[in-house]
Amino acid sequence: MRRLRLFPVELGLLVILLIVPLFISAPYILHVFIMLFYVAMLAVAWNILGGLTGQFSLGHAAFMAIGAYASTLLMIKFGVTPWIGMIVGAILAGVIAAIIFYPCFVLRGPYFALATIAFAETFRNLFTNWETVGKAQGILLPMVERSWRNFHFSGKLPYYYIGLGMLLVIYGSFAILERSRLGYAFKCVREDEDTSNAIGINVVKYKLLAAFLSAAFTAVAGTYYAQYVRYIEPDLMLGGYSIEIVLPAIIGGIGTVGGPLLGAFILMPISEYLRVMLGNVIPGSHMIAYAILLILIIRVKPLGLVGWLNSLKWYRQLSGAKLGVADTVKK
Amino acid sequence: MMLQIQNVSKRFRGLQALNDVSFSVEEKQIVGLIGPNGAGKTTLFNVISGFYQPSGGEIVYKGKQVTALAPFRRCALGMARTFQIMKPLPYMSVLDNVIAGSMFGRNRSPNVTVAAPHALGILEVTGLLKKQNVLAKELGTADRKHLELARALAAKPDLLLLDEVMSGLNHTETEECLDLIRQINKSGITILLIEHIMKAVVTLCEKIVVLHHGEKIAEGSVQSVMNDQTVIDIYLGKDDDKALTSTVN
Repeated sequence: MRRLRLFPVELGLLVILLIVPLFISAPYILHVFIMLFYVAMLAVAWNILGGLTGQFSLGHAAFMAIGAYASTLLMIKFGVTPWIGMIVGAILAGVIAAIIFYPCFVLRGPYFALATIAFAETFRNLFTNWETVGKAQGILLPMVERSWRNFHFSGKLPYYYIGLGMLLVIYGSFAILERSRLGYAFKCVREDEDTSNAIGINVVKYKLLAAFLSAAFTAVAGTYYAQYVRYIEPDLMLGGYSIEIVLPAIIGGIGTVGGPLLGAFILMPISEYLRVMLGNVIPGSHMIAYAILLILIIRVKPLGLVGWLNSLKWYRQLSGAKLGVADTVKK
Repeated sequence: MMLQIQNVSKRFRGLQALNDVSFSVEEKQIVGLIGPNGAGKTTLFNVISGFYQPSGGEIVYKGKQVTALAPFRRCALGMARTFQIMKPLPYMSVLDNVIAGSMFGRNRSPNVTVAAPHALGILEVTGLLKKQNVLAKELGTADRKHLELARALAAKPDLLLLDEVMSGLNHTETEECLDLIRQINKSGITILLIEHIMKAVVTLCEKIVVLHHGEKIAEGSVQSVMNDQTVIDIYLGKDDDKALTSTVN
């Protein structure tokens, strides 16, 4: 029942997003939507490790950059199509995440978060000084033939639909994951590691799996970014970008399916609006807005908007959300 | 033989929490583990379930050496436990808590569609069906105890370790819980339980093991243990006042 009841929201949104370009052709608006899809992808991917599994990473910008660099370098140096580069980057980022986070998983809460910040900083410094990856100047993607193979198109429309499609795939994967056996393992680990151990869950194994999946999806979004913006640099790994990945999830609801998506849809327009309206007057005002929103949410509704909705009895009954497996079974 | 505890010792720095404890649990038995506060009962449970490594001695489960196995591996073999200080998965519903139990452990339901009916069945037995959609953190003490039991049962164990599932329950709740444990045992599950409520121990257990200061001081049928002079001394204090002892007896 739950799925039938919740799907209309997402389907409606999808239909609207599908037809938006028919009415709006202004490149700037399309650009905002493209960046919105990109941020939403990152937030959903982060949510696998940070929300579902409860391992609060503040270094995810590094995985995004690994995805961006991997596909770009493969294309420039070996002529590999970015589509394959995307997969290679995803696996690479996943493996790096698993290896780096493995020793960090003994750390809990803020200590783990600190370790992830250090990890991202290390990678940023590494890339800044590494000849092969273009050092601090980064890489300007070459002007190649515009084709599917090269992931290079004229105009913003193809990027719009590809971004939407990728977001749909990542979001759908998360929704399926959340109700799967794997998702239950992740959630149990987040809730209580001792209890997880006692009911037969290999805590370390599932943390590693969560890190792998989360970093891999993040890297996929990174490839998309590189192909769209066509310029990448080590500063993409700055802490600020990691935080921008986390914010939509916190505001929408950590660990919930729809939260990061909702958060991205709220934050991106606000930040774009403020950037346009106040960018010249008060540069960085969107960051101030982020901060205010963040403080408000954490003070007033620490579960985020979707988490807060889920905690309301009437909403639960209305939507059968989150706790509604029982309905499906009993009928 | 379901479980053999062989010469188990556990030392925490200067404290000898368990000293050379040995006993065994036969299949389909209900064995009670009693002793005053700080006797080492929960420590022994942690050693049996794998949360602590013993400083010495071995745990043999269904004829298999499990001393070095992690808790989740023991659970997969069929050993499930509850926690004295209840540890629900707080931000998950009661049903999801039990579904999680059903998906891992020895049961290993592959997905929610399989796990949910199984979990609902267990919720019915443990009297939590009506609260299935409540978040675990919102439950009261009695329900939390039941949830511990339900989650452990969902793993389809053949050995159940119950750490004070009845403390904090009122009279009626205790009676219900006794019935439930008997019922679980009848379904073929061996039970080792820690309990302070003597009535529960006396009515349930075929065998009682008494721990004191980390040492086993008595073992045997309810009758023999209850009449054991050392046990009486420890529980009632060594006292010359025979009148006190006799009134209690």
